[in-house]
Formats: sequence, C-alpha cells, structure tokens
Amino acid sequence: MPEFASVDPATDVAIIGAGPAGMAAAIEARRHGLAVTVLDDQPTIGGQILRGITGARRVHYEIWGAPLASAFQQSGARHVRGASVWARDGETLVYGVEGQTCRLQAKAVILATGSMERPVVLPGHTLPGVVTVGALQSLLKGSAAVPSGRYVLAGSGPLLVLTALQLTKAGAPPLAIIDTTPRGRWRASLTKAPGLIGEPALAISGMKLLARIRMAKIPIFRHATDLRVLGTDRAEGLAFRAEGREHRLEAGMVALHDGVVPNDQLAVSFGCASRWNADAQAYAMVTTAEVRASVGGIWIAGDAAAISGGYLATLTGRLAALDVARELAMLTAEAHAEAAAPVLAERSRRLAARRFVDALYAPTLSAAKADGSALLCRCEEVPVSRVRAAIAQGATGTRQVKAATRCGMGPCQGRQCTLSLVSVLAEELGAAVTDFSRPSLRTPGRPITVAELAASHSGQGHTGSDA
Amino acid sequence: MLRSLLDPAEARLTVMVDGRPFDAHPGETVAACLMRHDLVPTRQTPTGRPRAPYCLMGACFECTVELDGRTNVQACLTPVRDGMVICRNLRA
Repeated sequence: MPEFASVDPATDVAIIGAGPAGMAAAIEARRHGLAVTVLDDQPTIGGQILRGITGARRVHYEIWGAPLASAFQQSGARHVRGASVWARDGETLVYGVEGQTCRLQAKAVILATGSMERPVVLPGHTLPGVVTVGALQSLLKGSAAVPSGRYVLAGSGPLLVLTALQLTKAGAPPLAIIDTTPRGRWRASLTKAPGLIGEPALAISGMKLLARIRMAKIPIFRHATDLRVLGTDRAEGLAFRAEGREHRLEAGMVALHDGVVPNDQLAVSFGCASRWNADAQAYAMVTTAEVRASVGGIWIAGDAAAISGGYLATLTGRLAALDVARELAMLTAEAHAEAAAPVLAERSRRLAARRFVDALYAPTLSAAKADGSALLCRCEEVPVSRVRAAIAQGATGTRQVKAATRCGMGPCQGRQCTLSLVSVLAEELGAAVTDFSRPSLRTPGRPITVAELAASHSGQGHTGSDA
Repeated sequence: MLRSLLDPAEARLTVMVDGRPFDAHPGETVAACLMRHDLVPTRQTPTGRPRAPYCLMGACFECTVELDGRTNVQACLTPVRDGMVICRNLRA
C-alpha cells in the first residue's frame, strides 16, 4: 500500500538551500511581498560557510553572517529543514523529509545549493579516518567535535590554514599542514589578476592567517607531491615528498582539500545548461547577469552557479529574488533596474580578485596525474588505472567510460567523480575538457526507496524532469 | 577518532548502534556521534572494503546507515534523537 505525498501549500518562490545565497534571496523576495518556502537538506540554517551560526559560537564567522541569519529568521519565509529535493515536475518540486515524500508547487525556483569540495584522488583516500578539510569544519561548527588524536591537513587552498587555526583555537591543533600548492604559483597567479591591486584586503587577510599559523608553531611542508594515505583498514598516516625527500607522518585522521567547485547536481538534473570554466577548472552553470538559468522558471544563485564565495553569494541571491519579483509583477521594470544596479556594480567590482584565487589554487590532487591504484569513483570502486585502460581500448567520451567501468553510476551519482573523469579523459587523449560532453544526470540524483518514488506520483504520471 | 568540546554531562541522549547503547549530545549529527565513539567503518562496499563518513555535508554518500528502519540514510545530514536505532551497513 503506497503512501501518498504530503502536499504543501503553493508558494510564489521555492528556494533550495539555506546558505548565504538562499537566505539573502529569501529576505529580498519577502521584502517584495512574495511567499517564500526554503527547502534545505541540512539540519540547521547557514549552509556550509555559516553552519552553526545560530547556535553556540565556536568559530569566528565573517561579519555579515550573523545579521544575515537573523534577518532570514525574521523574514517570514517558511523554512523546511532536512528537505532533500529530488525532482521537478512542471511547477512542482518533489522532496523527501525523513522518508516522507512531499510536493510543493512554486511559480519560481531559486537554486542556492552552494559549493562542495573538489574531489581529490590519491592512494588510500577512501580509508576510514580520511575526511575532507571542510568535513572537519562541519564537525566543529555543527557538532562541536574535533579530532581526538593526531591528524594532518593536506592539499591546497585557503581553507587549510583557516581550518588549522580554528581547530587550534578549539584546543586541537593539527600535527602539520602539507601544502601541495606548486612552487611559483603565487607569482604566476598575480600576473593573471591585475584586478587584485584593487582588493588589498584579500591579500592582507591571507598574510594575517599565515602569520598566525607561524605563531601557533604548526609545521608546514610546502610544495608537497606524491601524497599517499597509509594504512590498510583505516588511515594510519600520510606519506609524501617535500623538500627533496620522503616524509611519513603517523596520524589517525587525514583531512584533504583541493578547493571548492559548484554543488550543481540538482541544477543539472533539472536540465539547466552548464559550460566548462577553464579558469576555475570546473563546470559553471549558464546564467544571465540576473542569474536566470537556461531553463524557464529557474534561477541559480551563489556558488552553485560558479564559485565566488559567501559574501558574493548574498549578492547573487538578491539579484535572483529581484528578478523573480519582476517576473511575478511585484516590481516594475524601472523599480527592478533601480534596485539591481548597485548590487550588479558591487558584484562586478568584487569579482576582480576571483581570477587570482582560481589561478593560485588550481587543482593539485587531480585524478589526471594520480597513481593508477587510486580510486577515481569511490562508489563503484573504479581505480584510475581501469579508466585509463578503457580509454586505451577506445573509449573517447564520458558515456563510453561509464559504460565500460560503471564510473559515476553509484549512490553519489557522479558528484565525487565527474571532474576526475573528464580530467583523465583530457589528459589521456591530449584533448580539452570542452571536447567531452558532461555526463548526464537523471532524476532523482540520489538513492530513494520504491515507496518514496511511488508516493511522489500522487496519481499524476511521471515525476522526472527529463523523461 | 573525534572528541566533543561539550560538557560530557550534556550528552544526555542515548542511541542504539548495532544493538548497543551510546551517549549522544543534543544537536550533534549521527555521523559525528558514530565517529566520536569510534564506530567506524560505517559501511562496507560491495567488495567488502571499509568506509566511513568523508565529506560531512551530504555530497559523498559514504556515511549511509540504517536509521529507525529506513535504509541508506545520510548520517551526516541527520541529527541524533533520543532512542534512535542505528545499524551500520556492515556484513557480520
């Protein structure tokens, strides 16, 4: 006997994600009289960067965080926590909360699904005890938990140093930071971003963080290569090359990081177009300046479209809400233009520094250069060597590699391997990533039970957006 | 592999993991609770390899467990509840 979906009251705008972009969009949309429902899969508001902002503060958040969260809570937007959206059927979104299937009709959808850490591929990275650096931050901010034993942070990106300092302040300093940023990147990156001269604050905050690491006496191994997690059934340490020799550090936890990329699975499964962003070495969703997606009725705000950080996400969140308000006739074209102009101007001014950050933190732990034994697809346990073999045997695109290896066909539906797969294809075939089609994604994009699927129908034909 | 920064007296909830009781803090996620009690691996792959929570934000699906009879629930997205019954996806 199938259960039926619970049907929510219709809303003007459904916002998916309660991070900076989603909260800012909700506040702006409410300001213009729109009915707003925010669906978020996390237990509390804030997304990743502001996780825990409404609870007991154990970390120092950027100054815009607390006022944003408090304005969101007072905005009158309806907020559904633990809501995992998995389909769009016309104007109806289908989502699950604790196994219950729900349907929500919305005239407009703003996707604010944020970012995720770029998948890294190195031997041993699937062992228990290996986590991402962002995971350590989540545990600290959300669950007030820190590593209980020796641990190291390895990879590249500003999150390494930031997390090291936050955990040191919490009484759990790392054994070491293993920085994989190659020699010479700083200089090369500066030449790419003359705009940085207009953003001294960014450079100064970076230098301040490094000075604090030195004061905390946390050893940093620079320009490290050949990383390998030690252990057979769980992580026992990290081996790597730095300063011309082999190192082995014993540690029960190893946290890896190689920058962040858009968390765009839902947008792609809704049929929205993306393109390869060579600067960021990742896909970016195709949007207008008003952050309208290629599919009607959908807007994409914040890092879900292209990485630009938490504060800029609040600007694109506002732009999305303003455009929705115009579309739903709550704002005249003139009033819209007047409200959007300063937001657009601030956005383009602040984007100037982005190319520097992208160039400085280009991927360093990519599958393209990884040891063949490392798993490229975690879910289906496909090593890099098997993907290389499939290519050697004639696979020339993502679809053929998937068919030959099952790469990308497990529960995560390619979240953890799509970028690795296209980078290996490009490397092996001496081609550009733009030569390959992005692997397709079908609804639901995550494992659901037959009961959930049955409930989603409610007697109305198919639930998929791409049937 | 984890420890809590909270007062142990605050861990007033109890969850059952594979039939044994463990303390839990209100507000912590199931994944954090399992890692704090060193209850890893949390699942095994089809070939029997051990896995544990990895991304802690809902993107990797490594932390899926059975929760109160629901299968394949992402432990990192779910806060603990008093009396929750958790089964790791391990073959005996």
